[in-house]
Order: sequence, then structure tokens, then C-alpha cells
Amino acid sequence: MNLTPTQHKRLFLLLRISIICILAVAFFLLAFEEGIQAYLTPKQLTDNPNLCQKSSCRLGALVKLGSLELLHPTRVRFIAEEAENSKQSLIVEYQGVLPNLFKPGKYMLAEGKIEQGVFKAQRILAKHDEYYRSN
Amino acid sequence: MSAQASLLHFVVSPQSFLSTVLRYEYRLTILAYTIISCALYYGLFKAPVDTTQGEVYRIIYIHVPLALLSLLIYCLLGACSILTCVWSLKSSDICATACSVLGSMITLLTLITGSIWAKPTWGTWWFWDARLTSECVLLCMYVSFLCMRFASTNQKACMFNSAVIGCVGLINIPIVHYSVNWWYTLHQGSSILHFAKPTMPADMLYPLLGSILGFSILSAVLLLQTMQRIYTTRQTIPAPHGKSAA
Repeated sequence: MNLTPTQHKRLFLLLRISIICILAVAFFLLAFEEGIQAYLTPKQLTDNPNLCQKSSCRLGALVKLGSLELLHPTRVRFIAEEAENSKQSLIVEYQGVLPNLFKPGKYMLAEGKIEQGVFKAQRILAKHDEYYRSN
Repeated sequence: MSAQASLLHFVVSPQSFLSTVLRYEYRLTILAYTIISCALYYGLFKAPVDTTQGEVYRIIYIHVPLALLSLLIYCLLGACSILTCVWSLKSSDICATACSVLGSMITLLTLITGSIWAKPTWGTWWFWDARLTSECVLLCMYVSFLCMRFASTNQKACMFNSAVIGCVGLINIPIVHYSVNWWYTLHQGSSILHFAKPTMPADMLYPLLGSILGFSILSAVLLLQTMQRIYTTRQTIPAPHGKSAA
């Protein structure tokens, strides 16, 4: 391809700018990785509980099958686990309305703080996967 | 006409290319609406109910085609912007401008349909996770391209500056697509745009593919119509300073 000197100059300027931009964005995303993550896992919280004691954080986990109990008509307690039957788990307490898709055996996302070893959730969201099933 | 020849045809003479293609305007529009209505009919009434989400999952037949197109149209916008930056082509500038008009609308609709889907499933209208935030950034890129393109009467500067924005925004495309793999997000992973088996049974998948095809044809027609409109506007309205546009 024949490029005039101006076009040649512009093409290489564009290449240089794009390399710089890609690097800048990559470093930015790597540096802010923790902020970009939507939640922490039970493993991260059990290893390092002070992540979530002073300020609130978000926990994403599986609701352990058979662990959901009603403490009061609007107050629930359940066990959030890393994966099915894993040892890394946390007790979560929540007062409020649960989303429709919140079910034992499914993923959920809780926002709150750890108080005396219990995750006190202020808000609970349901997380669903990308699989669609018909009966 | 081969793809290369038609591309060259477009670059050399946008007007004759557009009028050649737009001869099929009505037929293509009718085809697009037929495919979309068939796909939506099968998707909304015939496809089986999802066991986890229930009936609400059916918004996938609108949300996914729009989300896919919001990315595809930006890819086209970015490619045109590179051409504009280096070769100062008038036709690529017209194409990129038309892409930004259509793309910003489609991205906005993606965010709106996504919100409508999120409320009954996740339990919130909006959540700042990586996928939603990067899609929001995509909308900002489209809108800033559009604003920059019509920022002043100095056509040449507008054309070049907006093309730079278009090139820079290309970085966001892989981030939107891979955000669900790179980070923990509330948004689910890809259902069809990945190198693995689709994550749904065939009777859910085919209406979705049909819907994607229909919406793609419709956007192509809308894109060509917008390009034609921009082209004629630039021909009829004399550019300021006595120079022809770009």
C-alpha cells in the first residue's frame, strides 16, 4: 500500500497513541482490580475477616442447601459457602425482602458488615448463571 | 460484486454505492421485520419457560441482539475512525457518524432492557459491576463521538477529533466482552458469544439466533439510510467558509 508521508506519519502516530492508551488502561484495570470485583468470596472473608469489619463490603456466595432459616417473619439466617459443601463458609443474617430468585443452592450477593463473626447484610441480590433450562 | 470491490466502490463513490444498495431498502426492511416478528413470536410464545428465571428470561430475545449490536456497531465505528484518522476519507467519516447515531440508541436500549431484566431477577435496577459499567462507558463513547462530530462548524477539525475519540473507544470493546470472565460480576457469563456449546436448549436458541439476524439486518438498513441522509445533507447545505465539507 502506498502511503503519502502525511498518512505514514498519522498511521504511526495512531499506533503509538494506541499502544500507550492500551497500556494505560491495562495498568489502570490491574491497579483497581479489587475495586472492580463485584464481590468477595467466603474464602477471602474467612482468611481475612478485617476486610469487612470496619466498612461494608459485598459477599458473593452459594446459599447452602437446607441452611435457610426464618428467625422472624422478615428476618432470615443462612450459610453462605464458597462452593457446594466447602469448608469456607459464613453465617449471613438479613432483615428485609429477598429477591425472587433467592433460593438455597443458588448464588446470591450480600452487602453488609461482619459483626461478631456473623455477616449482617443490609441488602441481598440474587445472582443467576448463564444457563437456561427447560424441563 | 465482491466484498472488496463494493468496499472500494463505497470509498470512491459513496453516493452511487448508497443508491445501489438502497434500491433494496424496502425489501430488506420487510425481510428484517418479518424475521424479527417470527423470532419474537417463537421466543415470546413458543419457547419453553426457563426453570430458574421463569417467564422473565424471555427479554433475552431483545436484550442480547441489542447488546451484541451495540458492540458490533462500535467495531465498525472504530474501523471507520482509523480510516478517517489516517486517510481522511469522507465516506468513512459518514459511516462512523451514522454508526454513532444508531449505536448510541442501541446501547441506550441495551441498558434499559437490561435494567428491566435485572429488577425481577437480581432484585435491583442497576448495579455497578464491570459489565454494566463498561457498557455505560460504551454509551459515553458513542455520545462523546456524536457531540464532538457536531461540536463546531469547522468540519475538518470535527471529523478528525471525533475519529480520535472513536479510535480510543475501541479499547473498551474487549473490556465489555471479557468483563464477565476477567472479574467477579453480578451479570452472568456469555451464553452464545463464546467458543463452547450454547448454554441453552435448541428450542430456546433458534429464536434467539433469528432475532439476532433480524435485528442485524434492520440495523444495517437503518445505518445505510442514515448514511444516505447525512450524505445528501452535506451535499445540499454548503459548508461554511466556502469550502466543501471535509
